[in-house]
Amino acid sequence: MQHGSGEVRGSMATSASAQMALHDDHGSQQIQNPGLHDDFFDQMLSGLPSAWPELGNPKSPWDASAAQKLFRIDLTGKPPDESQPEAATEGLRYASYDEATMLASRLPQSQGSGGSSPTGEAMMLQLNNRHILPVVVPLQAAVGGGVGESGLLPLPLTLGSGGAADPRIIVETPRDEMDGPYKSPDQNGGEELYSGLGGSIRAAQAATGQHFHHPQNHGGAAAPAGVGQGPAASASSGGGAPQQKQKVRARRGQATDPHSIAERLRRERIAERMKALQELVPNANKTDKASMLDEIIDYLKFLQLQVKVLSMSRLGGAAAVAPLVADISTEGAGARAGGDGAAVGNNDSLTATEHRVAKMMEEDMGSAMQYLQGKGLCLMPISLASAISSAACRPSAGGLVSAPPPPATSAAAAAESPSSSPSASALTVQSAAAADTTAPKR
Amino acid sequence: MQVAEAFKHAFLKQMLLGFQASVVSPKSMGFQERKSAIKLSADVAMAVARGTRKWTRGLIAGLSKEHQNRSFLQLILGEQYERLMKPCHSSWKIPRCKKIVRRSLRVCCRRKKKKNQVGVLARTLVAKRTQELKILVPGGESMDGFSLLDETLDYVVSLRAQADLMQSLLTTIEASKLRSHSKGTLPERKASYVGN
Repeated sequence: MQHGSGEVRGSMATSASAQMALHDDHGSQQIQNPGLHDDFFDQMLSGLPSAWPELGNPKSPWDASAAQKLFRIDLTGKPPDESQPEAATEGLRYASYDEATMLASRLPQSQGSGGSSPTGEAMMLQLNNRHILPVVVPLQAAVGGGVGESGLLPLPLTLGSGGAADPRIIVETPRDEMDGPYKSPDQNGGEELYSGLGGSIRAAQAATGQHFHHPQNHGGAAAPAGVGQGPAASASSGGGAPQQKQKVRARRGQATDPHSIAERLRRERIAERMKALQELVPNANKTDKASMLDEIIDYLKFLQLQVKVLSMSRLGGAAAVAPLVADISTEGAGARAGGDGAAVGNNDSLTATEHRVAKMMEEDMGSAMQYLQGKGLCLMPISLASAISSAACRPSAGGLVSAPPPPATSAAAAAESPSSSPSASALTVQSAAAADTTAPKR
Repeated sequence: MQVAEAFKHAFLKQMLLGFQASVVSPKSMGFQERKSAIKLSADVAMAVARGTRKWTRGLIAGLSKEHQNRSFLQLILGEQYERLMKPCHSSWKIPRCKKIVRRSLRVCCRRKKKKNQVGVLARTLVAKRTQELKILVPGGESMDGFSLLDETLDYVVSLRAQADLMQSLLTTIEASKLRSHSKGTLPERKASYVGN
């Protein structure tokens, strides 16, 4: 059974169908044994999408048939007096299948933004593993099945407990998307399933022991290695990362030397950091490490440029409020060294114009632009305006600068293209904010 | 975002102190001078507010390489400056040793004629980008892969906070200027728009 589940997981790409095949088996069997959960059966049968293939999926014939054999013998080989714990076992098992199928039926509906389908499949396998694995766990001392699973196996034992490991995050988040009533039974039911299954495992074990030997012989070479690796890996990783509850298991056939384990730990830590960065950086839906690094680099350059542009602005007068007022008068006097008269004369009209433009900007950008152009003004980037003003202040500026100063000192002056850069829009937004005396918006 | 309020307060306070210390005013400085003074104040404020991280040390070390910044830094940081300027030798030796070991391994592999095309390609792509990232993040050259990502994360958060805080400060100043001006106290304030 262990091997079977390993195989299933090996063909994970389209293995959801295989899992559904398994569910189908038990669904059909369950009709004979109504037991305790009629409503579960109805929901399960209605929840099964018709697109799912039937029994005997050629992808994993062995495990499907083995599962059938296993459970059929469970059902039929039991004497009637043992049917009660058996039914309870199966009820619990089927409950997990019900959850699996109901969640699976909900998955296509609730899958929103990208990346959910692999997580959905991962979750499906989780739920399946939750059923399959606890039956097998007591037979193998270690968690490590050692059959080449990609880290999904440890999850059943740690399910329901909070943690920072990535596979757990994968499992938890789709569950958050699910409906409320299915959230709590899922997480609580998980632990209950384990305790319940733990009790029923002993009962089931005796009868189905011979079937577990069968897969164990198949995975015989891997299992002792897996068992041997499990405690060793757990010991080393337990010492290395005590906050992670799951054990770092070696892949099938890999050596257990500390180098590879340390390498794996390092890779996992790096993956963790990449995920954290992915949340931080916008447009970070890339799964590739190189493209993710590209995005990070671009975002970093953008932020640095933003700080540089912000430092070009008139933050200098921010030292205190009182110096601010003095600063205003002095900067007013200093900045208009080039063009006095025209600017001073237009001040009041400019104020009114500016307020009007701000109001118009709120309604319609186009009409505001037209109004400005009618007045012989237009928007210009703040950095450019400051550059011009400071150039106007400097008496040693080139001849080019001396002509524009008088129009430059009025708001939104030069004959620039009215393409509104973010800084230009900030100018009008600020004036709008001032006019409305609302909170400054950016 | 995981930016603490304490960081914001410390950053703003430090930046205002820096502005006062460097006497940032439009009449005494040209455009470039004022820009670099403001940026210096902002960067130092960010580094100080964040505390001790590898990138903060790298940032301050990079800033102090310019001679004109040294007096400002000493003024602002006080005795912290001397402590920060003490070079930490160990952090430089480790990556150098790693590079030497890796280079020797690569030579050995090349001698053995081992070629893994896909892996090599992916690794070179990642290595190129990692190198670029090391240049961008202050103090990044002396970090290995994992700590580089760690510092990048922290640095991005701090940069974002810095940009947001500067922007909000700017809008607040502008709003207050406009409000005081619209009250009609100072008629000759129009020129202030040009720079903003």
